[in-house]
Amino acid sequence: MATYIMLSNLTDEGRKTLKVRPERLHEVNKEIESMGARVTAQFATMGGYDFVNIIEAPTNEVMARLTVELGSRGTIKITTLPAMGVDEFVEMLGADSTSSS
Amino acid sequence: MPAYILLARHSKDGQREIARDPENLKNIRQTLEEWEATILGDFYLMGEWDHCTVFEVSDNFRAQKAVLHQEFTETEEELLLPAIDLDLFEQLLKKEIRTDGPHEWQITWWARLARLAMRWYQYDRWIWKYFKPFHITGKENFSKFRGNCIVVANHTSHFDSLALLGCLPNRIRSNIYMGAAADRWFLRNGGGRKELELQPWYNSLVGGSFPIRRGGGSATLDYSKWLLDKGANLGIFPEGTRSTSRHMARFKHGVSILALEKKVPVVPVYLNGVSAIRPKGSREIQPGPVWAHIQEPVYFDEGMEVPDATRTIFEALNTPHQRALEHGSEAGQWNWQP
Repeated sequence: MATYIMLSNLTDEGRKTLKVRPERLHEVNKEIESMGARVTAQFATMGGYDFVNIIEAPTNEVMARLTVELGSRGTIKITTLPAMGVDEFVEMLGADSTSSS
Repeated sequence: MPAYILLARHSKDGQREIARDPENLKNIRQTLEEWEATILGDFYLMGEWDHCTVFEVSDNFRAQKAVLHQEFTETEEELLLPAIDLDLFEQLLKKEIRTDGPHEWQITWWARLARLAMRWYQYDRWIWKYFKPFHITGKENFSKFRGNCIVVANHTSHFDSLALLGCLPNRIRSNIYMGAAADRWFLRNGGGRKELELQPWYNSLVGGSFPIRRGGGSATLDYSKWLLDKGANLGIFPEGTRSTSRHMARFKHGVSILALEKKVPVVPVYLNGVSAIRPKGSREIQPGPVWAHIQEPVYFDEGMEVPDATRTIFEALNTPHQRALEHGSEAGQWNWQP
């Protein structure tokens, strides 16, 4: 499974929905799981983004489908960033430099 | 502990450094850890941001300081986002946030009588059960002035109010009102919890407390001023919330504003040992020794600035705290000699 960081901002419509039905937050997680991905951590944040989600998905295609599906409702704007654990990434860079030298 | 998300974008020089030595990518994490942060996740990203670190640290101030002190030679832009776990966020959205109180009737004779009758049930039985033993020093400092005062103490546990009330002479104790967080102790309808519906009323009557709205500005002091005008004493924890660090948190200015305007002395009480009995975030209670070291009253000169007064109060509590850290709890006494 690949990891993705999903940064999201609520639209005005999304804010209204959340105020009336806070439990929507968890319903969305179930929908994400039904599309083949999994939320591993999730935070409501203050600042440039309203939510930061750490999601695992098998492929970029699954993730792309998911962002279109969630974004199409007009309640959130999403920025999705493919992510990799720093230790893993450092190891990978180290292995590359060894094989190229 | 509060969580934070740090998003960072690398500069060109930073990327060069990482390409030269990939271990440089761990600098962000290492610097945060030096500031007592616990790292929950650390990711390299592709896209708008290059790096995402999820971490926990004791408060906003420490988180910001940790980020500022990072030698971010590899980054050109950082975005620090205070984060709330989603379950807690959902609970907060559902929660009633309107508050009740203050209740002016709490200073009437019948309310004071009710408080006196309930004293054992509300406070003393817990002191008797868990403060083993309870050392009180410096009680004579209360005879150095007449009239009312503001009693302040360091704050590490919900049990601090028990220790504070338990160490006071009857003259003060019988007419003291304790500031309490409005969003915690005075939620209307118990914040949606049926069992807490009467909480604001109970806290005003039996607890003798009154609501303080966090970040409420000067208007939040109106009721405190009214109480002082009525000759009541106030009990306030100037850190504003329970501290989890070995160091005292910065003091809010409310006590200084009140003391300067109403010309009343401030009596600092240094509490020690309470956090071991019931630390912040814990529901378990362990009996143990508690010290309440009453310090000399602090008076302020006419025209003194509020920040200077706050600093004076902080020093009056921090000095015994530092002594206690270095020489043990007994050293928190006001007249301690090495």
